Amino acid sequence: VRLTGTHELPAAPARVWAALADDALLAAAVPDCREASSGPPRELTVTWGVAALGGVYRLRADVSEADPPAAATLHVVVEGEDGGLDAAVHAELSAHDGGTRLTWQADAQVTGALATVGSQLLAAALQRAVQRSLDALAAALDGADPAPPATGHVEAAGASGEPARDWGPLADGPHTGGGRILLAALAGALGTLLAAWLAGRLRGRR
Amino acid sequence: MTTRLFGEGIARREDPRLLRGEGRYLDDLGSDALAVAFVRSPHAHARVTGVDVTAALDVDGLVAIYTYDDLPGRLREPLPLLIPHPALTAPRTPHCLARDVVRHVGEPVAMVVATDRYVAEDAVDRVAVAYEPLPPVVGLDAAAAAQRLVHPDVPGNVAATFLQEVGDVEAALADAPHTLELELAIERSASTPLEARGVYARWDGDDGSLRIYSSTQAPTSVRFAVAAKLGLPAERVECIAPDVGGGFGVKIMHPWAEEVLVPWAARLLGRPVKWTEDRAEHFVAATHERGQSHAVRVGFDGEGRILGLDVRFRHDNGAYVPYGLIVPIITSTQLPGPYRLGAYRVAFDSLYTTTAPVTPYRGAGRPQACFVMERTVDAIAAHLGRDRVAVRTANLIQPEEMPYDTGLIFQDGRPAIYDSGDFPATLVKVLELIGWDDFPRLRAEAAAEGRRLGIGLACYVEGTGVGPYEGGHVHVETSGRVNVYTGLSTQGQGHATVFAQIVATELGVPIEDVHVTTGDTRRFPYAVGTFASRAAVMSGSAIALAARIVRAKALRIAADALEASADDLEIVDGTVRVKGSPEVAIPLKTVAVLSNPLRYAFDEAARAATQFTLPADAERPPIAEDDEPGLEGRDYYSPLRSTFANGMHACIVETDPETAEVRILRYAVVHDCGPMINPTIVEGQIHGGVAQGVAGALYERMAYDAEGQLANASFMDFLMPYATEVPRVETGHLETPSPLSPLGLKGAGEAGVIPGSAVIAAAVADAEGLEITRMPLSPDELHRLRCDAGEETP
Repeated sequence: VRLTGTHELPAAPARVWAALADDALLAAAVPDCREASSGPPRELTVTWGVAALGGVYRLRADVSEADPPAAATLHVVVEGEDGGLDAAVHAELSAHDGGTRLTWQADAQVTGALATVGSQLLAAALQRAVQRSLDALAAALDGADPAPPATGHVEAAGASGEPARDWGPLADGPHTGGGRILLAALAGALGTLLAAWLAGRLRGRR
Repeated sequence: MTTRLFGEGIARREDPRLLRGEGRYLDDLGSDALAVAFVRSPHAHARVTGVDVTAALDVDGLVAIYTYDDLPGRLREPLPLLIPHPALTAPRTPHCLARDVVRHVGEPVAMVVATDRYVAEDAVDRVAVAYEPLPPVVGLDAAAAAQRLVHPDVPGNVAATFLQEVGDVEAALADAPHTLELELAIERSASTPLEARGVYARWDGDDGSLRIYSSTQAPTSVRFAVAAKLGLPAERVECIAPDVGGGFGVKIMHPWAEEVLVPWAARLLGRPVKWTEDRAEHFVAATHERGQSHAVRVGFDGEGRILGLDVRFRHDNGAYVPYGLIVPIITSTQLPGPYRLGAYRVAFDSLYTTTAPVTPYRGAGRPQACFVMERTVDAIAAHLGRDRVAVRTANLIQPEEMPYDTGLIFQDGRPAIYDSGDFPATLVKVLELIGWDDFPRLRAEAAAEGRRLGIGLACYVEGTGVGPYEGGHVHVETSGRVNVYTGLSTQGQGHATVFAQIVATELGVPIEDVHVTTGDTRRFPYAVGTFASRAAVMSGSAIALAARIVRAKALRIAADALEASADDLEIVDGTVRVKGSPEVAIPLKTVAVLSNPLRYAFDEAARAATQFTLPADAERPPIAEDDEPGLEGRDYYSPLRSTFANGMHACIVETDPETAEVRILRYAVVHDCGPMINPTIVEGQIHGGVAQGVAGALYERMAYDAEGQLANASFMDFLMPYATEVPRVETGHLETPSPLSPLGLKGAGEAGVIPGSAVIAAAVADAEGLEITRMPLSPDELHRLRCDAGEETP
């Protein structure tokens, strides 16, 4: 799966870079981040799902190159019950209109059941995840409460707080397990990924 | 119990089950399966520039969405060209999912899998596909003009050009005392089975095997095609055609994209997956037929004898040609019908358009052929002022000319040689049946009441029972149950009845003991399929041969047991007995026991076959070296070439002077398919065929607009005749056996539909005194013809 994105953040690149290194800020900004451990490599546990798949995923980010506060290249591994991702990610931050423009691209090898949902669907889920996480981060940078999501879908799912193992098996049908698709969880996943990678890199450089 | 013999019109054995609603059609299976729905192109021709599934993410119960980019390996390649032909120089077949360009409305772009069909459809609604429209190519004129191309690398939109010539047509036409030129066309229609397509697949991850159920006419070939596409050994794949609610040709096409994608998804997801086509899909996403326009030049003498016939026609093959050139080849080779043509040349262009692909629909090119030939013969009669019957009589091939070599190469690549038939006798019979000679009186009486009547006649010859082969397996269990297997599938033909009649007759067993299984690769792995009116000829013959093997073996074993000569034995009502001494007998089920020497006595019958019970000959092994255990036999029937059935239809119509509505007052069919296994079933086939013939003549068409949108893609707008529109069919039969097959059988499945447009056009033309050159004919079109003739004003 190949993914790209461009986002505007309401702070200068240096502040964005620093925010991504801030565990507390990140934890607040990413609603589905259940645990975060300092690295390197930085490791996070998030609740995440796409289509009928979902559960708890562990993320690990290693930074291979960094040019603070302008660019970073990361290797990210995501593992969960339904498979995982192995992704090469490159992100760039540039000053733009008083804030920061973050552009990123990722090439992800997908494994397990995650590889069966279709690349367009997976890509759409990941793209939306990044969008929502960075919306939350933008809100945090703006000094606003990061909790209310920009698009309104995050709250319901992310707030469901159900443990992953309670999400019934696929055969349970569409009306069990509340928040099957859990887009918010997905948002958390990718947003956290980006954040974690950048933060992990920062931490590593200190 | 009675032994039902070949030739009796017994009731269909499958009907009680079907009428009680106990049929198991595709959608009755797989209640635990995930459901599939497809995102299909709304454009006739467009470039797909993007697929955005974001909005579908929120659909609860969504499992997967696939596009072309998700397809692995051979699923990325175009679907197969099923029947290659040297003349098919620019074959194009579709991809399973659109790769870049869609070329007809309904072409699949993305596949959605969800927990049920409602959810899948909801997700389909939320998938946004970005299209860049390209110019549509609709209709034969646009295709031939080729100002717009369907495939950019196919100049002129020409998939194929093919010519056959017997004799020197130009010389014949130049020398002919009379010549005529005609333009004749038939519109598109479609098979439109009551049950549309459907595929259901189960992947067994434990043993790595795939089971496919498909509403198909060719399960054996689906099995091999899917195995090849998925890179599986054929041995790991089984395909079963369950009860199939009609096919009429559309389901001989395979593998459909859906037929490949559903098993692929089942394997990928490790879950049963099912797709049941809905009616709206079927109209645009399945295949059509019939659209052809023909230019005829004919030369003839003063008696109406045809000296030279030159036909050029254009065949609309739609966006792709997955089934090759079969339809126009059949038109080419069946056009001469029962007539002896001095010289014949036929050439066609098969042209791409941005409409649904074309594959055979019951009749498969023959309704067009019959329409062209019969309108031509009527035109000759009109030109000469001679009786239509007399002109036909002057041209009919005589029985003593059989076998008659047309000099053409048929759809199976073999010579089109009429093996048998008595065309003059058929003509006499149909004229009697319709009361041809009395019609002038009838017409005059009607005219006195201000009513317009017309009478028409149309004749055809139909190549049936094409090869390469079918097989049959007959197995007698120790209970006396007789299992019969053949590979081709059933879509309502009554195979469970007629094949059982053949076996009951050949083997001498009660028909109640005979159980027929068709279309299941687990039971019989070698088969071709059910099409071209071939099942009775091909599988019927193979099953008869297999039953004869079983009979011979049964007699041999019984001869040992009864200490008699096999030549002196007969099998009656499931008992082998000495002719003339019926008390010296052994039940066939006991023979089955004896055929299989056993060590273990699992029941009473088995007990009789164990090693201390059977008489032992210490000098011989229990199974002789050249023998096999069990009372069963398998054989195949592979004909030298097709056998040719024939028939003639006549009808009387009344045309309403005010509304231009056409009403069929009488419809007579004389039909010769050789010996009838079951006359009731043959008549049923004829009745159904006539219904579709009437449909093609007066009602059904595919109303594509200039943009390539199918404007009548529903049963509200696509007119299918009800019982009220289908006349009572009066039938007469000849039974001229084919010398090619062991039972003398010829096919009966398609015959009823073939002359529909020809005979009704002839009758309307007779009633109206107008030339009818295009079918179907709606009241509106008849009104316009009247206007053109100055008879009415618009």
